Amino acid sequence: MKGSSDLNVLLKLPTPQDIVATILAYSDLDTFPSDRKELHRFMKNEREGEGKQLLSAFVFSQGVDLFPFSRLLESVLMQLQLGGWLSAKNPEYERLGITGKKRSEIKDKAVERFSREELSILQKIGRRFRESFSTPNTN
Amino acid sequence: MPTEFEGEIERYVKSCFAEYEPSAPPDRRKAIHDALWGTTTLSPAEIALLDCPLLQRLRFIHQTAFAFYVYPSANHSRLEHSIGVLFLVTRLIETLNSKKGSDFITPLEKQQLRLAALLHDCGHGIMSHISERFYEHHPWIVDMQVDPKYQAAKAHELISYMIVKSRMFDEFFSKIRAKYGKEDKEIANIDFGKLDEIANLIIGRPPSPEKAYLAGIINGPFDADKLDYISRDSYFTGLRLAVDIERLLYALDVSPVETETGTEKRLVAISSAASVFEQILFSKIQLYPCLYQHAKVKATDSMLTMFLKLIRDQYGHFKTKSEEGKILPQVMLSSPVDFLQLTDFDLLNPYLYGGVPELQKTILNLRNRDLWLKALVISSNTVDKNMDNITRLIKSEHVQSILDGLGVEIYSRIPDHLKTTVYDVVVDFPDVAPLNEANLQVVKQPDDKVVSLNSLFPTHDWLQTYVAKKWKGHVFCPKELQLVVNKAAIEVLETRLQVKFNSLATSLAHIRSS
Repeated sequence: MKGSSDLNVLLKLPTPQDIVATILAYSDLDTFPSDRKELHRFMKNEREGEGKQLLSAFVFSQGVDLFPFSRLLESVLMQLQLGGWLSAKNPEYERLGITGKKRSEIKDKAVERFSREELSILQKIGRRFRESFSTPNTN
Repeated sequence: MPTEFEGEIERYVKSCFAEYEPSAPPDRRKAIHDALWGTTTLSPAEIALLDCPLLQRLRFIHQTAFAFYVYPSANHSRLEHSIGVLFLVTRLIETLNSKKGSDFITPLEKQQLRLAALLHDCGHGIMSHISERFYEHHPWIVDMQVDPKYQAAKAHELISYMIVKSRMFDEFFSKIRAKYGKEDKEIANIDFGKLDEIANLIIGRPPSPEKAYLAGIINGPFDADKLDYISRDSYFTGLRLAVDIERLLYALDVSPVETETGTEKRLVAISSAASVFEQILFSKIQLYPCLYQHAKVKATDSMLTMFLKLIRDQYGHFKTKSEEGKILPQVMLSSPVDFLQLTDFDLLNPYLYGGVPELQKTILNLRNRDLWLKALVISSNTVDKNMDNITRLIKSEHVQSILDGLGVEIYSRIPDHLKTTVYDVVVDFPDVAPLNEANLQVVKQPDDKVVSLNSLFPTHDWLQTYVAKKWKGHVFCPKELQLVVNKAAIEVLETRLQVKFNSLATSLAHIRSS
């Protein structure tokens, strides 16, 4: 069993949830569409581009699902909701939302968890997320 | 050059068949009576396969692990489930053939699917998904899942896949072909290539896009596996969850569906029966809080998990002595294949631990239902601040090391005179229930367009909210430590994870005063 000495290190390592939360925070969007096909496709494209290293844990299926699907990404979206960061917008559940206050908290924590280079990449992915998912009345 | 994983699989399969010769008479089908689905018959070759040690082992693996401590009748085995899947696979095939032509699914494909049904769980280790947690992060499994072909497959499915693809399994199956192939031309045609297709069906990979529906029958959004386990687990626990199989069969169809890589013919259902899909999803999701992640079930899982860790860390192997005091072959608990060497019945046999009192004590506690208790409840209702610091750990690759570390730290704060063993405190953050079926296009509308269930009703996000609200983590320990562990766990988790628990975290644990 791992002892407490390792715990300090392990607790500080970025997790998949930290990565997705930081991208969403830097999108600066209050809400975005919950369309899974588009969300998974976006992350897959980023994984094949600038986010190759940071998003390497998000493996997307091939030839089983109808669109490239990452079980890890799906789990992380659920974790973000469970953690109180992301919420489905009633009554239609067509959009997911993240408040400005939560986005600020995530950005504060991201500075501690990621290197300057990593943070720069996540900020750029966040901006591209905004370009892909913003609509005139979303922010 | 076979990989280390392939080598271990070959050795395991060889050991399964070392003393087995197919002996079922080649001229008579046999009837099997199932409590859930009634009577079905198996061909002589299928009986010979079912009789082999590889599958008979599943008779001694509980489908729902230790759930029988909470639901006394939940004693059903992986073997019963495999036969149930065979029954439902056959019904799905017969329904499709009656609608689309008698050879729509050919006799050979039908035989492959029936064999896939029997074999799909042969990779399950002791106590089913409990042992899976031990090996799901093993490098052999993780390395396979990096390949997008295997990304969707669970660890035990990959092991079943490897077993069916193995050279030793092919060698065994050649005996089946030789003995039964004269009377059974489908069995005669199951060669190495066809076994490979069966292995792929188990992990949801079809032989071609034109035949994608074949994989959907065994591993898809409403496959025979899911239909059986939801029905069987609810039936044997007494939970009244409904899945209207007859209505699903009425609505069943195959239709072209556009995917990222082109058109595939997939298993679908007409839109008037979309409610059956909702039923399947709702029932599946309800089984998590009611059964798979029920607090007492998780407490018992934790006892077993720590018991296996204790054996692995302190003794390095499983079996010690037989009832007669004879030294048995050692089973290491390091590779995924090790967990196939054991059954639930081995585990609960106190005579195996005759020489080691601390192992014997845990097993006697389990046998006498002297189970661990909750010391702290962790959920969005019991954590007032920074719940995200807890959820961020759930899918971390280091989650198990972190939870072990937190458990050690909690244990270290127990007063010395109460200390037992560090393996007596568990911090458990279960995975969130998986949800992806609602995003798959499975509903055929009157205009022949196939849409996802989610496009008709926001099933996915609706259920996601349900799952998020129902998720609970726990700290578990023996009853005599409950009070001290409660206090220590609050201190450690609040400090380490920078969270703040409210009074509900303790009151929901029903702390006993002594």
